[in-house]
Amino acid sequence: MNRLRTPALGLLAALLLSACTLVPTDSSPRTVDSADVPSGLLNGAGTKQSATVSLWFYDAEQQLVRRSVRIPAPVTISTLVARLALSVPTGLSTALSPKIAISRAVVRGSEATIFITAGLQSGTTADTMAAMEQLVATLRDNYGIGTLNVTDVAHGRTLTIDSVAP
Amino acid sequence: MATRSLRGRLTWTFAVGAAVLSTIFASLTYFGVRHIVVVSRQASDLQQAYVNAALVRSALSQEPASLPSLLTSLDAATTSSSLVRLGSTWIEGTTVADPETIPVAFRGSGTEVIRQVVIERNIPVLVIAVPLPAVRATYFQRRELADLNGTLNRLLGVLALGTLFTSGLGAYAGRRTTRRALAPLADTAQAARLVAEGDLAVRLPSDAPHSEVATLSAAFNEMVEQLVRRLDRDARFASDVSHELRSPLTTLAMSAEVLRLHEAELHPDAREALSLLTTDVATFQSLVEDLLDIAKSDAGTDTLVNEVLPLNELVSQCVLSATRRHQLPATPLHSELTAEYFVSVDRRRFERVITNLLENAYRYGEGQVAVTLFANDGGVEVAIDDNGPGIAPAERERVFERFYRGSVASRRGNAHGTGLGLALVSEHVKRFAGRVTITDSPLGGCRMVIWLPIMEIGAE
Repeated sequence: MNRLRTPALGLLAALLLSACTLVPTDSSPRTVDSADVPSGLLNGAGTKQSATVSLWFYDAEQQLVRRSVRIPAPVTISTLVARLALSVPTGLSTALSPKIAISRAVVRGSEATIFITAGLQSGTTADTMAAMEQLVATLRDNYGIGTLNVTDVAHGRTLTIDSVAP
Repeated sequence: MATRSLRGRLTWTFAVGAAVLSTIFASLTYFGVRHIVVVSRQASDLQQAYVNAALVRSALSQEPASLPSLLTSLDAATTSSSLVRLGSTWIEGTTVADPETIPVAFRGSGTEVIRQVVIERNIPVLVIAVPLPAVRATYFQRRELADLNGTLNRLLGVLALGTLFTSGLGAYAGRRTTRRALAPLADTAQAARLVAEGDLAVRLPSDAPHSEVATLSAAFNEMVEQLVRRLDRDARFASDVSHELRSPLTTLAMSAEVLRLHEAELHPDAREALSLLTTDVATFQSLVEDLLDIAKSDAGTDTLVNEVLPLNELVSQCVLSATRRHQLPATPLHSELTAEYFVSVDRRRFERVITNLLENAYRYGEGQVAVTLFANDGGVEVAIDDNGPGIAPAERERVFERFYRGSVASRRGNAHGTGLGLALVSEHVKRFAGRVTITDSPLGGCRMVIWLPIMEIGAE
């Protein structure tokens, strides 16, 4: 009788144990064969290599004005911020410091959060606000952002600004 | 562990067998269904990820500003969470997703589609990463599989219930099957019990001539037939021998009696020889009478003449008669009965019973014997006590066997007992619908107890 009881209990235990992980998990990522990926998703050819974006700068009266420029794709927030800080058109100025550095940016719906590691607190509070207004205006045009959160990673502070329609 | 009956063991085997089989089938079903469901879901989610990734690639290459709203609409349509990484920029569709929830292994710049099921807050989540080299982005899709877990959980519950039900059904089927299969064994055991109790007319039915049970029944019936034939032969032999011995014994006894009338004229040696002869002839006569009685009882040729008699008066007369006839000492009779009770007995045989028990009590006791009447267990009891060495509990049933001589009788070398006295007592009392038992006596020896059913006056 014991010979029958042991496997029965073993099977029952196996069945119960399997309940602990109903959906089997993977210990490491599994690769999908590239041949099975449709629509040429993994191909790099045949797509645009640049995109037209809107960048906002300050004019002589310290009013924000828009300029359209063509930049290499993909258009990322880091790319836009670098453009705003470093590629200022003639006759216009920028409130962003050339030392500004972004570790990560997250866009969630109409709200964006930018994590800045350097270059945000280089001037006065008015300068900081001017920089944020320039940023939110640019992101509104390119990502439809309505609210911008700027997190100063070094000081652990977050500033929030809502975009205003031009 | 207590030994189970054959039926219990067979029932248990059925139940365990059913449990093992149903567990195997339940396990195979569960793992098979789980594999199909999980693979199907993952394939479906992968296809959805490809479609979403294509839309994201298109949006990024044509109108990057539309990406957040596209992801939101994708999430709403597919109940999944979508993220796009562009360098250090993460673009999410809903607030549910978070870049931190993407496994670290997925965050590198891979060139192949990868997927993994991970556990987050006890919920399985399928994460798929589709690289989009054309726009230098990666599309991530997170899909919680809690609903799949729930489905599998329910399936597991149903299978577990099914297993329990099947096991119970197996036990029930086993119990029913074994009851039918083992019924002939139970019948045989019951018949054997009846034969052991003396019912030699019992037989087993053998209506299925070719079955194993019929073979057993036939063998059992044949055994009982043989037993009956042997008993009949033995009884006939004992009866015939007793008959043949009776006449010469009577002649011997009468001759000895004639010699006793002239005892004074005999030589002292001859007187002693005559005394021995008389005693042995009396013992021999008693043995032959006992044998005849038993033979008649076995053959069923003796006729009981049962009468309904008052117990007190009956026992009193029997004790008096036994003491006079067999020259026994006066025996005190004490009654604890509070009313007059009647019993149905054959007077001659009942007197024989009392005589045998009194003789035994005086023969093996130390001279102190008492008779007491009780009411007990819905009947009346006649207890005969002595102050002898008693009878060991292990011998208290065997002393009623024919020619069985207990250890006390053997030790004393008593030559007067025939070994049939108590056997006759037992036979007679059974025929009065009573029983005889042995217990310890308050006098220090043994107590022989005759239990008889009480009869209403007029009933027999």
